[in-house]
Amino acid sequence: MRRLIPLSLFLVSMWGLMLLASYAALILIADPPWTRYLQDRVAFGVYRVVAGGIVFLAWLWTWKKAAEKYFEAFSRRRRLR
Amino acid sequence: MDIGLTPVILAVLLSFLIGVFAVPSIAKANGRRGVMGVDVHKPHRPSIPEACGLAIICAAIPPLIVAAPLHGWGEPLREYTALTVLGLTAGLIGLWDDLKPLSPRVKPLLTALAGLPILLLHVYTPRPMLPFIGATRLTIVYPLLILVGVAVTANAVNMMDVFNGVMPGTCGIIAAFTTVTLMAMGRWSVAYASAALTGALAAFYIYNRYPARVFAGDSGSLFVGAMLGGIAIIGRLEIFMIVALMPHIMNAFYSLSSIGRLYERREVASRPIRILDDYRLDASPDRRAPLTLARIILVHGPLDERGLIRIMTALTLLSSILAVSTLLMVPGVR
Repeated sequence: MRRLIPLSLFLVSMWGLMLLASYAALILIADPPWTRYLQDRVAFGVYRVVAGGIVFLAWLWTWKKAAEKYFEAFSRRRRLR
Repeated sequence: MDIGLTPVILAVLLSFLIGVFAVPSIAKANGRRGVMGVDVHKPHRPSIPEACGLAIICAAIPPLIVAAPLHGWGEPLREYTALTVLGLTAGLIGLWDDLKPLSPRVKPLLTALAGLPILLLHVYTPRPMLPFIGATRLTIVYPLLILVGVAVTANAVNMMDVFNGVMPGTCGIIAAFTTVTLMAMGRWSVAYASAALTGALAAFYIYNRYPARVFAGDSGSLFVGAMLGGIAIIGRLEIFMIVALMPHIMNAFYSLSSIGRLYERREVASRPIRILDDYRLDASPDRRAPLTLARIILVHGPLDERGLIRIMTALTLLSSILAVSTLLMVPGVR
């Protein structure tokens, strides 16, 4: 339980972050005001893929950094013990 | 196509029964041929028959072949054919790797090709479902994502198959959740395929659980991972599978990002786990060691193998519950 709780919280926070990323994608992709300049279907498609890709990479990068911080924090705590 | 609950239950029972008999026979045959692996986490380092994941293939595929003509010659036949060819291709790539190790760059490329039957038989819908957004139209990019998706799931499951019973235990939980979810969504033919995989994994778990009497090898883990990917794509459960496989993806992604390239376990200069004198496992303090899920779990302190397996299984159970919750946030699914 001592390990399962922080690990579960970490997993749930990464899941929550994924939901936030989906919400960000919704705002960026669905119907923001600037997409009216993208009348061409191909340009709009490229925009959606690029915007979605940036959100996905941002999520992945945050995930990686969070794991590193988690590991460092608990390593330090263990050394101090 | 609504095939009802009875065939789904029969698929679980049939694949389970085949699996229970197939695992010892394949283990015996592999032992005779000298296809053995060492269980490095045990005190006396026993030799265990390798590549017994072939039994999972032998158990999961026959229900699909039997059902293809029974469930009609249209959509279900194409779905079962795609999954059968996909699974057999991934399993053969795994067997090749078990007998003659493949380069870490070639293996993901080959497993991506296992996704081709889904494209060729056109059993996919290029509208993945995302939370809040719902179905998104990705007609051009989606076929490419299918190949990437199959490679990612196959190799993520393969990289998690390090401790006794973790692969069949965690993937069995995911396959069971997937089956129930697909049934609830009325996607019966894919639920049937998922049920066959669940039964095969349950049978394999009996022999692979701690202390393991058989190892799945890459033939088993690549097959299971590719099948989960294929089922998710055909059943339109992509986001569900990403969340359910979070511990596996987390493990693979952290390992790859900390090493900075594709690698094979035997290439790693510093192992992520060290074995203590009392045979408990501990996280390696070496900064060059890959940051695997096991190393993250063990950063809290040493643990025996059984405890580590329990935590990995519990995390997969949690991620599967989160996967169902995610699906409820997709507009139109409820």
